[in-house]
Amino acid sequence: MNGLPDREAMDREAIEQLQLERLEATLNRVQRNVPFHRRRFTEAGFDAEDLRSLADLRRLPFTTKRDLRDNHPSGLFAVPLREVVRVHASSGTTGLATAVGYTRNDLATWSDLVARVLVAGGVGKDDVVQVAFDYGLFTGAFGFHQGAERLGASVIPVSSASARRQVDILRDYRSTALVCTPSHAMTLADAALDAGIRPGELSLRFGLFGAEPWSESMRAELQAKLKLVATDNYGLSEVGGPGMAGECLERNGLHVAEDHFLVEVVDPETLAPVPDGTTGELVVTTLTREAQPVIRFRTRDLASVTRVPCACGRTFARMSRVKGRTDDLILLKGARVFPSEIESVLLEVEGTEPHYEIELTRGDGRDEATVRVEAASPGDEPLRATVERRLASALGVSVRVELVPPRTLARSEGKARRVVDRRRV
Amino acid sequence: MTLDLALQYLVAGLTYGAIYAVVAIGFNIVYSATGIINFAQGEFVMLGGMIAVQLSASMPLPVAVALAVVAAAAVGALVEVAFIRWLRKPTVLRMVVITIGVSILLREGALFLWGEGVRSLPYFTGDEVSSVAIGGARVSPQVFWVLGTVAVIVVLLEWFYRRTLLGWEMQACAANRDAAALCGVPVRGLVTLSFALAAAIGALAGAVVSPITYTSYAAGGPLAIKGFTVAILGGLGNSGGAVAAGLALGIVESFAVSVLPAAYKDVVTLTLLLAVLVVRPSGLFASGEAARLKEF
Amino acid sequence: MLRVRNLDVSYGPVAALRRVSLHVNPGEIATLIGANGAGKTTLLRSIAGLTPAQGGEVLFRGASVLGMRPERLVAQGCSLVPEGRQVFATLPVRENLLIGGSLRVRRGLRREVEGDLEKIYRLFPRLQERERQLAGTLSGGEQQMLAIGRALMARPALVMLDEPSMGLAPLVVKDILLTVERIAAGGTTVLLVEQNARSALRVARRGYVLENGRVVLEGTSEELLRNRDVQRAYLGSEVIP
Repeated sequence: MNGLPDREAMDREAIEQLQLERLEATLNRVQRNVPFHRRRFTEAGFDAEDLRSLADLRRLPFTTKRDLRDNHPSGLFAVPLREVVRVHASSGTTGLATAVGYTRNDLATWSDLVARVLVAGGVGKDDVVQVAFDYGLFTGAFGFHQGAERLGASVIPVSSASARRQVDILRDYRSTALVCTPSHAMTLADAALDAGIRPGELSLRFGLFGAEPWSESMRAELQAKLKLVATDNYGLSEVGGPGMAGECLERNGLHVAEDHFLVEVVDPETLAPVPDGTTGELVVTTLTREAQPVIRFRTRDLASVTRVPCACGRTFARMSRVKGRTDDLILLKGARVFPSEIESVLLEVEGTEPHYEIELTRGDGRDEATVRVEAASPGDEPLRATVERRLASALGVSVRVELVPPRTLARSEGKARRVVDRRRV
Repeated sequence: MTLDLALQYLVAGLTYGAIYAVVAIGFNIVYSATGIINFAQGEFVMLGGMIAVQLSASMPLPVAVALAVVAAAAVGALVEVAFIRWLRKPTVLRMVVITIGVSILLREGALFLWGEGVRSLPYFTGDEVSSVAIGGARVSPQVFWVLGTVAVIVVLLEWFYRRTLLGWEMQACAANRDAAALCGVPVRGLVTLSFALAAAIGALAGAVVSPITYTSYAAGGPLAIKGFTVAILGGLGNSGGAVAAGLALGIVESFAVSVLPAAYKDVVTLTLLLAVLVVRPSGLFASGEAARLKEF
Repeated sequence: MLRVRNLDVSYGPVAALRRVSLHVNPGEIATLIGANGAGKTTLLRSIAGLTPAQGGEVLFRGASVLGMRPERLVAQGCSLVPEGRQVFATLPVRENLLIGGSLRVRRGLRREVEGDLEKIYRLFPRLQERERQLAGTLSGGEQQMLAIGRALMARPALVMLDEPSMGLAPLVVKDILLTVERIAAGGTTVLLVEQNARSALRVARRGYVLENGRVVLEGTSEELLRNRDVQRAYLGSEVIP
């Protein structure tokens, strides 16, 4: 199995020793092999030798998505091209997708890490895992596929087959675990209902959902609709794909694979580290990647981290669910608004579907936000008013709400595009 | 020369030779444990005699001798701790300067304590005029004491080095100090012990020979030179060689007196030393290789 | 069991080890590979107390041991089999081994030490055959066995070996490494420093690669064996796994 189970229950000191060793080795390799980082280090007045403790990490410069784009495709590879045996791409919801390279060892480690996430989420080698991510350059599909195989489970690569077909497969192949985005899971739940299949007829036990932020209320709904235990998992293509963090069955935070990733949380404005428990931007450093090590990558994902040990026994730090993206952060009338907060409210209100769109406009020099929500009866004025009121109180700013008929908003195939910002020319 | 006279010279030679051998052994003990030539070794011999004489005024002779040996051992240990301990792989020059300095220190100390006078212990058995007849020669009983003591010292040392754990550890220390430390051998303590041991046996020899040769504050110097010569001749670190060479030198020196004027006695020794250093210098500046398979 | 953090060792102005960190878990065989001059021997000597370090931390069983004299470290349970065997050439095999146990003899465990002698002879029958021979007259392989046996006589919890394969014929090397496995199987933790990377990685569970005084790679043996840099530099040929 993936290394040693006792890896996940190491005491804090052993974890930090391992992290220190691996970080030092990575920095030594990176300084030697990657001109981009070498130059960056020099500019920052930093020599890899100066790193004496994990705290010194903050003296290193950040790597941003722009840096990855500027050095696309292979400028950040730390090994010769012929040692790179796989190249994926990041999903690039905000622009150009960048290349992600793997050596043989990277692939093996990747499988192990995803297997860990699967196990944390309840999956074992006797399970049938249906992977409903799009197979291709996107890392999610292959990552979970390999991880599940590593685990010894049966894998069904449904990829992006139609929802109806996927539901049939769920039923006929008796899939016990579902891996996809939460919004896609919701789509499948609806499709099952449409097909007249009751949740009890499916063999699903566990759902591992990720690749986009989702709320507790969404979890409750998915768990009810599909009769499974839904856990969140997190991973970035830029640091290798899924496997970086995953919830255990306690469902109280995602365990970060600290033996392979060093996670920091910084204030998105000042870039200074924030204390455990405070929400900020996640910054990730890879500790064992060979082909493309990543140093202090700004993920633009907002979350918090805690080092308090979990009831499950794992001692790795836990991150909260991703609360949104720093760029998703909508600045509306002076307030910071997360789309995920909007989602939460919608889920609580009866009669609305959790499919929505936010349109931002500027009229008369003032910001206006219109939230379009799908509802069974779009003409229901009291419902509309209720939603408007609830949103206003949750967000602290008023927004206009429009109800639209079901299925009129664009569906997600992967990540949902929720925000349309027309304020800029 | 008549046989009787020859025998007389022979006995004298053996006696002195035995003492030179003991001094040489003292050099060897310290050298093999530390790689250092302790030029103060002669002073330990002198101290043995002087302290014993001092003590014999107030206690029985055997006790005085025993205490003198212990006192000399203490001085040896003290010298090591104070002056030698911090010397790690000293250059030859440093080693020579420091140990000669110590010898001067000890000599001046003796001068201060006991003045210039010449002293000796009483004969252990008999007196100045008693003698035993061997062939036609007349031999003082003290000679037997000297030879006997030296023989016992050699035998005991041999037993120590060959049969006791401590002796093996000292050899290990000498063969490879780092490796010995890695085995948990207390190398620093053993170095001190080697100095104390060398001082003790020197002192014992000094005490037992003092009735014959007398001793004074300055007796150490010439002894050191002769003992050093013998150690080189016999091969540094080689106790069997030291005994053989010592006896040989004693005898040669003794017979040389019959040919040369008495004042030239030391010339013989020094000439030999020079010759050895020229022809076979590997004794003093032993490289690691040369000293590798050395036996004690 | 052993934790090294940011160890710096310099010989005068020349830095031999820079910020080296590693650890060895109880019961495992860990290895450190690297070319000549990479700093492997310096590292072991530094941990053992023979070479002073300029910075960093060494924790053995939780206690800081940096700067401790070698004699004391042995008493704590960590023994080093030094580079080049370094047996006591002028002493016979048996005495060499007994000196290895001298610490325990001093603690009054003479009987047990003599019992251990039997165990060492079982591990290395050839040493028993040559019990009375002077160590300096043994063959290279026998001297290596003697050096290992000597270190084991102290019943260490951790034994560190500095290039045991150096200068030995391949068959002998195989023998020695088999013995190392047996030692580890018996519960002793092993830190093996080797230039012969292939053999070392076969025997060890985890390893580190040292280059110019820095750790550049860390991982399980499989990972290191699969790594192309390691294959190119230390395994002599590129192996397609």
